[in-house]
Amino acid sequence: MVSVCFYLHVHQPIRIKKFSIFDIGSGKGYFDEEKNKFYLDRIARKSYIPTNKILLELIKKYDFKVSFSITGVLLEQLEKYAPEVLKSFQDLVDTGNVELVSETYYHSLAWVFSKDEFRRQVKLQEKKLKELFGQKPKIFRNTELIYNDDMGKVVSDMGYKAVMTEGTEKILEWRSPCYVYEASGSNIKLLLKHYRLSDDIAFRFSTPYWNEYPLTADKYASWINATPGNVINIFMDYETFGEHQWKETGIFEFLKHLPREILKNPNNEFVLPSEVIKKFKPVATISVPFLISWADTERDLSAWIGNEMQRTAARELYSLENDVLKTKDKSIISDWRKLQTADHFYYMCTKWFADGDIHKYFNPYESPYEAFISFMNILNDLKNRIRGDSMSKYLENVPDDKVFWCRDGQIFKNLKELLFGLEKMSDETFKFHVSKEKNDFANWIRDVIGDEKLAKDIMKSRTKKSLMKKLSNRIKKLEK
Amino acid sequence: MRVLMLGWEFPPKHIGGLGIASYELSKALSKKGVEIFFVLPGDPGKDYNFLKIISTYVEAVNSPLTPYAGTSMSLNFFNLPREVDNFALGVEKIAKRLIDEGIDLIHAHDWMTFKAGLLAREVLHVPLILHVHSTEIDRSGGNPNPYVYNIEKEGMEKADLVIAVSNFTKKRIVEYYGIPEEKIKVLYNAIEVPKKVKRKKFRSKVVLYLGRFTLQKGPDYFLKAAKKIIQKDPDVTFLMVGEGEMLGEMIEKACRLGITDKVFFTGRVPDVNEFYSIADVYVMPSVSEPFGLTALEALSNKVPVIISKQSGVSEVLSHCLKVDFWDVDDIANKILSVLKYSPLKKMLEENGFTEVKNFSWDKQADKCIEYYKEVIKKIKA
Repeated sequence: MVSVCFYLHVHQPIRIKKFSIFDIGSGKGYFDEEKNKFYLDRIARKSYIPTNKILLELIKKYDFKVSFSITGVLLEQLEKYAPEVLKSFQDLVDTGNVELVSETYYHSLAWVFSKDEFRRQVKLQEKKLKELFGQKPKIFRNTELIYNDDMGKVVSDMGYKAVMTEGTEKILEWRSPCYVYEASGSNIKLLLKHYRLSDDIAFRFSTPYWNEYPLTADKYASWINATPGNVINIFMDYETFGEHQWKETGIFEFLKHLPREILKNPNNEFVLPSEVIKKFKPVATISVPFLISWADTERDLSAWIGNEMQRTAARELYSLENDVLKTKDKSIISDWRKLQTADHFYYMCTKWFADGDIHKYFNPYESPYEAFISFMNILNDLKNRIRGDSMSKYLENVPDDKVFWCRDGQIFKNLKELLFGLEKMSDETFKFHVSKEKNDFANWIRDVIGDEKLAKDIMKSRTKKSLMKKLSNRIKKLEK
Repeated sequence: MRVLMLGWEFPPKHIGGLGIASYELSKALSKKGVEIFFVLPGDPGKDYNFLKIISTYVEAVNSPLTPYAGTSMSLNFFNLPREVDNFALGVEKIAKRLIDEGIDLIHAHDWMTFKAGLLAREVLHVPLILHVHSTEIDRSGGNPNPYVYNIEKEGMEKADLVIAVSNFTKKRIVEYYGIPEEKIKVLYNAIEVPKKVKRKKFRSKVVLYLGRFTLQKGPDYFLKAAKKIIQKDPDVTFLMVGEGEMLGEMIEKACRLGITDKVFFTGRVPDVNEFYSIADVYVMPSVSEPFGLTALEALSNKVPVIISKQSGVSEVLSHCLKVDFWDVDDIANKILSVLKYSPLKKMLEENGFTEVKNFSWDKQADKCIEYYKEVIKKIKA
């Protein structure tokens, strides 16, 4: 008897805009509504709408079961741009043959950078699933099936019964992915992706030079029949249907016929992940001390944090955690979280064009470098918003018609030049500008530079020394 | 294989990319057994062991040719038509002497040598390849000098094969000269990466411009970007290396913008490597750049590059930032980003250096020989 556990991951990021250094502090939004709507409309038309229709027919016709994880960021976009697609997912869940799998709301790498934020995002996802589908998830999958033993412990403590991850030889060694295993250090169960059978559909389906091409449903069913074990975990991106594999490849016909072909063998059945762990006892314990994922041949995190730009962007983003949460500002917190979506880091990946081929993967940016620039500029804008002002602008040059004309002929365009100029300034000149009646420097700083705090601070300074000290301290602080 | 090559400039005296490219290509070709008779209007003042240099100035004693002196072409433009004609006559004489040398083809670099190429073909009856390093359309910013344009057009129409330094240039030749696409082959320029790269500290961050001061190279866009950057980050120095007809205008413009304390004009310099060694980023804002060899030079000196999309080199480089020359905001944004975000600078520098190592003249010479063989076969058939 072989059980087939068919699971699809549904996700679209909220893409960010091209954001220039000159946009910092301008109040420009981070997310590209127009582009996001465009991509969502396209994928709904090409993939979500036709695939959900087929899945619903299959459930009505056969004892077909499927599980989904739908990211919070996608659900948000569906609510906003495609409520009819959301409805079609709800209809599927209402059949009772669909199980929802939990994850981080923002499809983030939070597990790698902040355990607290990870827990918060899982909670947010649970809340969203409850609200839209009325289901409380029992099974967990992390972004890109990233997993290690410690994560197993944490989600076990959160009440999850099983975790889905990659059935890579890195952890299985000689063992088969077609059994239930137990995690080392917690008693959470592991459901391991059968990557060969999964990738036959997800990646190889339409590859003409593949020796099994064309792949038909009965051929695939014969492979299922020939696979020993308790359960075959077929995990893939939902977008396989209609987007990664276009309609023209015959992928929809394949999907339509697959359940019938598999169920032709009376020993086969479709199962939901939570049924798998009820039905089968774990055969062994598996230890995963290091992070794994379902990505690339390396099965690691190098596509997201493999280069220095990616690591810097991620570290800087997560270093803002406390400051962001302290603001209690909903829009700041939500923007910060949307920036955590793993796709933003994926767009900065350079490992694919080691061989000069930059067209191997989809990237909304012209290059990984452009992705990094916009992301970092947005991060700096976010920092300004967290601080409640944009102090760094006080260090900039003032317009040419607002420069400070000093009595001794010096001209100051910014605070640093003022500090430098004060050093050289004679006491006589200083006294001309600063007296009981007036303080030209303070006025200029208040009216032109705009730094009221500093202006107030030095208003009372009567000596060059004290003014310079205050000014230099302020510059140091602004430069941080 | 024996090739009669016609050039205009040659190291150590050279003006720009043309001299370097024809020198490096000849060197790589001769390593592969191609024998080159290289004819120049002047005497480079140095002997090379890998090819035979013949100077029309030395050979054709009776012609009143001005020796090549390393001045900018535009400055003595009024003498140029005469020099071009004299060169052609000199080459014709030389070709006559080479009749029994078994020359297989003629390879002529840029328009100044096209007339000479045609005359030599009359004498030798071998295929003529014209190598286009830049067109009059690029150099003139769309207002071609009819004299130069006609020489280019006629030459390319009559040649057996045209080699363009990029697809960008190939497209120009098709669109502006009406040459059929199948007659044009692309041969990119390359670079030999120095064994040791020198890096030196400078007192501030350095943004480098290096090129002739002409409309084609876009120095005014560089200045406008500099103005924007200085307002954001006063701790940046802009170095503008080179000379040309727009130099005076650019200096005046820097004064008007009030940025003369941050922008420095060096004029012509003996060693550009000194400037690469202190640069944090190299910017090539060309309006129309057939190739853009300096981008490869900068990368081979571990300097990250920002290049105009309106350039040939942008077809072959991935590890760089690309801009539209007119988008001053974007140029300024990218320069500031490289200066501000150290991982960006580091990765552009390291990956760019790795990438540029793959551009070898050796590979380009193989390709060039392929083109030679094709054209010889075609003409025989």
